[in-house]
Amino acid sequence: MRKIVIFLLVFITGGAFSQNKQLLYDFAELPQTLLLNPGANTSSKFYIGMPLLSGISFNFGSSGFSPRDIFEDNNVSFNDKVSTVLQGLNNRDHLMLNSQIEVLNVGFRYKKNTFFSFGFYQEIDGILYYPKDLITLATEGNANFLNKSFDFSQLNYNFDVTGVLHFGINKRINKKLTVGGRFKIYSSAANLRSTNNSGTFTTIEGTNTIFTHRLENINLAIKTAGVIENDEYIRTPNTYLKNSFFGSNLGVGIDIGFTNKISRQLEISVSLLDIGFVSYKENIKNTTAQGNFAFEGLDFDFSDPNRDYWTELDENFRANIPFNENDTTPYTALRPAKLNASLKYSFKEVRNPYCYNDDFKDYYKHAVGGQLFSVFRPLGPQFALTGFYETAFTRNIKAKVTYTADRYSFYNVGAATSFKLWKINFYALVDNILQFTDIAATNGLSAQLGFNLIF
Amino acid sequence: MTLRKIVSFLCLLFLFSCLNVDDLDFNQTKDYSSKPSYSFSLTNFNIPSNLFVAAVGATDIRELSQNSNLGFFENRFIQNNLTKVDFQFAISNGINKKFIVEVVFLDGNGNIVARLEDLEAEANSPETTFLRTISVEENPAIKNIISVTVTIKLENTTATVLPTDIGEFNFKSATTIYLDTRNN
Repeated sequence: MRKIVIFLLVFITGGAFSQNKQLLYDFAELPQTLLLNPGANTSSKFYIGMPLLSGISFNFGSSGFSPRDIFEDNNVSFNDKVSTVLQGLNNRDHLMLNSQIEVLNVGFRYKKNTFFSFGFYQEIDGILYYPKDLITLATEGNANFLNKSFDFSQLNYNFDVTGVLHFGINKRINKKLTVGGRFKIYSSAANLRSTNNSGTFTTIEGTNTIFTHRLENINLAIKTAGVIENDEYIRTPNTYLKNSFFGSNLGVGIDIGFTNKISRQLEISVSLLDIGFVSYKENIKNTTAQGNFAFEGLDFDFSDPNRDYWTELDENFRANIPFNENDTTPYTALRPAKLNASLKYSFKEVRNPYCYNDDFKDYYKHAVGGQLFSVFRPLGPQFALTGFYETAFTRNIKAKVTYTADRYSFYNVGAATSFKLWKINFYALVDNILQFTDIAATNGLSAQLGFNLIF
Repeated sequence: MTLRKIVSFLCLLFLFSCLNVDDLDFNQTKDYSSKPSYSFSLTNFNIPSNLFVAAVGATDIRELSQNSNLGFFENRFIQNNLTKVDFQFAISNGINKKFIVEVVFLDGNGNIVARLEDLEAEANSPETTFLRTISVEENPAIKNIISVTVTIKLENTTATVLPTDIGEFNFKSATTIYLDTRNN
C-alpha cells in the first residue's frame, strides 16, 4: 500500500512556479531551487518529480490598473471607468503572465561533491505594454488631437509558448563555494512578437488645405512563428504540443550560478538564467510597413474628368509605405534573461549531538536576508527587491516569509512552507497574501504547491 | 510551542480562503462602447477662371464637376458604427462672378443618398467657412455612400465667365466621421 501511495505521489509534483520566485529561491534546499540557481546548495542524493495535472501555477502582473478599477460593481459607468484607467496609463505600464509546467525533473548525486539534474518543462511567457497612443486613436479618434503625434513605438509585445529540455551540473568546489550551470534547449511552439517599432501619425492644420496628415518614420514589424501555416491559423492543440518537443523553431541557452559562504553564517548567491535565444524558421508570417506619407486631401483636376482619385491615393500610399503581409523572413529573439542575487545571514546554530553521525549535518534555525530579482524585457529590465526571514521549526519543517517591492505592488507579503515526511516532501508557496482578502484589487498574484520524492 | 508556531503559520499560509470577488461584475463589458471621431481632409482644388471660358464657337461653360470614390465609407466597421458626419468647407472666390457649390453623395448604383445644402461663394469673396452635418438617424442611407460629386456652377444661369474675369476659385474641404461602437 505504501508503495502505491508513493508511486502516486511521484506523479504529483509541484513543478509549476511563477516568474519572480522569491519564495522558492534558495528555500529549504528544494529540488526546484536548482532551476533558480544551478549553483545552489543541495544535500540530497536523489530526487524525482513528475507531471501534475492539478499543479499548474499561474502568475500574472498588471501595472497601471487592477481588475477592481474596471469591474467593480458600483454606480460609475463602465465607459467612465475604462476612460479613467486609460488616462492613467503610461507607456511602460504592461500586462505580464508567466506559467511553467514541469513535465520531468530528476536529480542525482555523483560521488560526493557533484550533483546532476535534468528535466523538461513547458513555459508560457507573455508581456504586452499598453500602447496608450494607439488605444486613444482607436477609442477616441484624432478629431480632438490636432498636433498630437500618435507614437507607434508604443506597440510592444512578446508572447511565447516554449518547451525547455535542460541538463544541469552542480559542483561543490570547497566548503565555501558551490558553482553550477545548466544547459537548455528551447523548442518554440508559438511566438507572437512586435518590438522596436517606430513612427508617428500626426494631424495638423494645413496651409493650403484644412488638415495635413503625416505618417513619419514608419517602421513596423509584427512577427509570428508557429501560429500560421499556409495562410491559416493552426487550430489543433496537438500541433503546438508536438512543436514544444523539438519542433523546428529551436534555440539554446544557459543558466549559471554560484553560492559562496563569506563566513559560517553569511552567504551570497547569484544566478543568471535563460541567457539564450531562439531562431524562428518555420511557419513564419510577418507583416511589415516602412516609409513616410503625407495626405492633404484628394486634389481635384477639372481638366481631366476621368481620373480615379481614390485608386491613385491607394497606389501612392502603398508606394510610399510598402506594406508586406507575406514576409517570411526568419528571425531570432533573445529569451527574457533573469538575474537573482541574495545575501543571507543565518543564526542560532543547532548542533548535531552525535559527532560520529554524518547523516545529519549542523544547521541554523533562522536566517534573514535580501534578494534582488531582475528580468530583461523589451523596454528594459524590471526589478523586484525582497527581504526575507526563514526558520526551521524542525529539520523537516521549514518556513519562509518575504516582503517584496516591485512594479506591481509595494506591499507584497508572501509565505512558503516545506514539509518532509520520510522521503516525501510537500511545499506550498503563496504570494501577495495581504491582497487575498481583496483579490480584485491586486496587481499581481501567484500561488503554487507541489510534491517531491527526495532521497 | 513548535506545534503552535506551525499551526499559526499554516493559518497565515491559507488565508486565501478569504478570497473576495463577489463585488465584481464582468457583465459590464457588454455596456462598453467607444465613440471615436476621425477628421481628415477630403477634396481640394483651385480653379482658374479660364477653365470657365469656352473656346470660340464652343458651348458656354457654366459648371464644372468632378467625382471621386470615398473608399473609407466602404469599410464595414465604419458602415456599422457611423452615427454622424460633419463636412467642413473653406471657399474663397477671386472671380468676378457668384458661384454655387453643390455636393452630393452617391451609392454604388450612382443614386444620390445625400445632398448637402448648397454652398454660396459671392463674387470676389475672401475665404468663407461652412459646416454641414448629416446624421444617420435622419438619413440612414449615408451608410451606403460610395462616392462624392462636387459641382461648381454659376449662380446666374444666363451669365458666363469672361476672359477679363481673371481670378481663382479656391476650395478646401474636410470631414469628421463620428462612430459609436454600441451600434455593433
